[in-house]
Amino acid sequence: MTKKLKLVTFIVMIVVIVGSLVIGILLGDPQGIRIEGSGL
Amino acid sequence: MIDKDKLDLLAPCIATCPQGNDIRAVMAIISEADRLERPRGEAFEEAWRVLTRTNPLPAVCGRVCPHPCETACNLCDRGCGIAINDIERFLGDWAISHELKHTRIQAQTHPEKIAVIGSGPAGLACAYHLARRGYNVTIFEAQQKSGGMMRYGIPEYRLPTDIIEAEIENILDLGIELRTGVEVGGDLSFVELQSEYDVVFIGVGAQKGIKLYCRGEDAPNVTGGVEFLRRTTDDKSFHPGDRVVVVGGGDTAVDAARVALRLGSEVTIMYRRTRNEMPAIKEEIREAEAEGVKIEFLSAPKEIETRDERAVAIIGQRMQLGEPDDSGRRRPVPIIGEEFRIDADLVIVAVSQTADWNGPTEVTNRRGWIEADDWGDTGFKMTYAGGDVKGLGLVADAVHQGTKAAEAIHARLRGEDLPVEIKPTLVTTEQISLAKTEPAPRHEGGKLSVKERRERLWAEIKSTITVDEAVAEADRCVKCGTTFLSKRTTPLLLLRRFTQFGIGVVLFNSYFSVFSTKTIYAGPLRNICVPGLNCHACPTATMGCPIGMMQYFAATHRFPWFLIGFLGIIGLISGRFTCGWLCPFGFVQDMVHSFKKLNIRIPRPLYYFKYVVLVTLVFIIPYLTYEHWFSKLCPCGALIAAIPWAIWNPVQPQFDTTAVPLDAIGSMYWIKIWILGVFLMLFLFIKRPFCRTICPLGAIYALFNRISLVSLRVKESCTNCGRCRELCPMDLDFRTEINSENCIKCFDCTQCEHVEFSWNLPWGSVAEASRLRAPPVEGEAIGGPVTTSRGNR
Repeated sequence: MTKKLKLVTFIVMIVVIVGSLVIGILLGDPQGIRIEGSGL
Repeated sequence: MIDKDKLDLLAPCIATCPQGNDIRAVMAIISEADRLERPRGEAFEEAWRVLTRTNPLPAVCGRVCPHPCETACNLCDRGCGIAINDIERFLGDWAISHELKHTRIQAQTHPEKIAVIGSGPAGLACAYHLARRGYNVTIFEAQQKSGGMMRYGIPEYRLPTDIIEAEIENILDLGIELRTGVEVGGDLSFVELQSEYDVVFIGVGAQKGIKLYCRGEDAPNVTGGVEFLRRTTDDKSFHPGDRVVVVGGGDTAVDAARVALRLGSEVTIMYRRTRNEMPAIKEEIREAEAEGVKIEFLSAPKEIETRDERAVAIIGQRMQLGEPDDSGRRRPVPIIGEEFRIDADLVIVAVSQTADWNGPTEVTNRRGWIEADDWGDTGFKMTYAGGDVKGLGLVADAVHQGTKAAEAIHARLRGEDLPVEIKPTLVTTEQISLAKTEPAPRHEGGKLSVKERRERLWAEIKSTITVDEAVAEADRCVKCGTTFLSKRTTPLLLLRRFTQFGIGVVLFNSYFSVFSTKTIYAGPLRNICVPGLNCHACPTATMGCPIGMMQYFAATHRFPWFLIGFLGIIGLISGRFTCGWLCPFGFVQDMVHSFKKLNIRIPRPLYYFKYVVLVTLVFIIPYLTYEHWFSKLCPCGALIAAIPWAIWNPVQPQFDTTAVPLDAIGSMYWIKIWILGVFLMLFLFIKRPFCRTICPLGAIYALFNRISLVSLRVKESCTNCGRCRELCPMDLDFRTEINSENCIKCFDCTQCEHVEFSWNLPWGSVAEASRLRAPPVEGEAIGGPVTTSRGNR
């Protein structure tokens, strides 16, 4: 992987990930999650 | 743990190899292939590529090199050294039969034009290394065919023409132009060449025979050794006469004698010293005698008797050994009055040769040899030289000189410094452990019997070893001076175990109030997940499982924005670091495997099954059925949730009572326990089978592993011993799989000094240590790393 491609990939990944995280928070994802189980 | 005393030591075979071939690496690559379940063909190709870093003619050198490496082998003390020459030949032949091609080491091309005079081993090696670097190279050859002394000075029964041609063709395929029948100094002047080319390399060899300076030498049936061999290369029907006398004791003399024998003559070699001082390869001397060549030791030609201007006999002078001369050999002294006569129809004078150079005398000394420094630089108008034209030597010496000259030319043209010569310490027999080495027979190529040789005059005498023999022979090698690893606990491993247990197991499951209240945790931390595979149904769990959450989103038909962002950040920073350092189920696998009795390898295709699990059990099936199907089958959940619940059955707050009565245990429970049981058994015999083949969380992090900031790096100094795989908890061959989707970045492999932690920054890696040399492909030193080791010779 060339340096340029690596940098571009990294930046795109950062944008996607941070964007996803922000959208998730704005949509109330963490508060909406409620998973529990008995294990049985 | 590394035995520091044995690191960076130079194996004697590498130190004594005229080319500095990385023999130890070649042996390690071949011998480890079976153990690493690597296809042998792939290992042979890699070994050939390691070999051709320093020697583009392995099939040739594997046949004609006198292999000082084998004499120096530490195993000689245990009976017999490794058959290195046979393995070199095997790899060369393997490459030819499998049509392996040399590759450029950098895509970039350079505008400078290089002229190479002579297509012998020195010229070919120089052209090869420069062409691999992207230079425009043209070889000028005076003869009609390329190869120099390889073709015209070594008989076919030792070095078949098709082998020479195959290796030369492979070199030329790098884009090198070959102009045959062009004699520099005759057809083309050296000045013209210099005006057209930026650099000139002289590798014309030393094919001009030295005279005896005795009476009768000018007779037409007195010829030079090289001339005789050249003539018989092209004309096998030539009959030199019934009786041939060869004067000299070098390889050319012995070759000429054996060729004359094959052409139907009775042959006698005259040599002025004893067998011990004879410079020809000892094995060749023995073979010549076995075939019927008679050797008159301690005899020198006094005069050649002529009749009608033709030689009819040679008058010899008996000699005895006196005091040592400058070469260290005892000087031959005539015994006055003791003369003898041998009838001869042809006298071949093969006492020595001199440089065959018709160019400017500024580059030669008074004896006609070209003067150049160790890097081949003559100091005259960008002119370099190497091979026999500097002084007689082996084919391997010529290849090495061509290689060094190429390195010097490249450095000069690019304005770079010449590589600094490293002088590692030699590994001695006392420093290597042979205690566990079982004495095993040496495997070397078979030979035609003398009778067979008489029937098939020009057939190659020695055969190439088989694949199994090559592997067995490489397996015999103890790889002196490589990294020795043992299973001792290191501070880094202790830290990892502490983190796995302290954070992965205890901290993420630290709701200890459940012991007194019998009510599980239901606070805000339940809304987020841990980075590792930790079941949220564990009675003491404080946070969710990322895979459980992923199924929750799939089952509720919602897109997991937050979760993707959360896992993405962890993945981008550390890749699968979590698997190695924080995952409690990884910890369980490591612990159980530490009691192992054997280690079974997993077929590579199974590694991709975890992606199937991720897509089907975590996304598609929960989406369709609204149920968390991975959790229903997860062995991690069975271990840290199902079993404790069955024993203990605490309260879930939302039900305000015993949530699931024990009589609710159904078939799924027992399936889950059965799966856990199977995996626990597998953990004993296989390294982390769950992480490698099943874990969907590992599959997610694996997508980031190659680009994550936390990274590992194999130094160029890696000796390719392959023993690092024993350390890797994922059973990876980290020379090729480091930072791959299965590397969990546990850093156990950094126990080896040739691996180090590095930050994989998008603008370039930053290694912790600064001792790294250029990476092996783009910045590969022309002659490979071992060329610099030769200072120890």
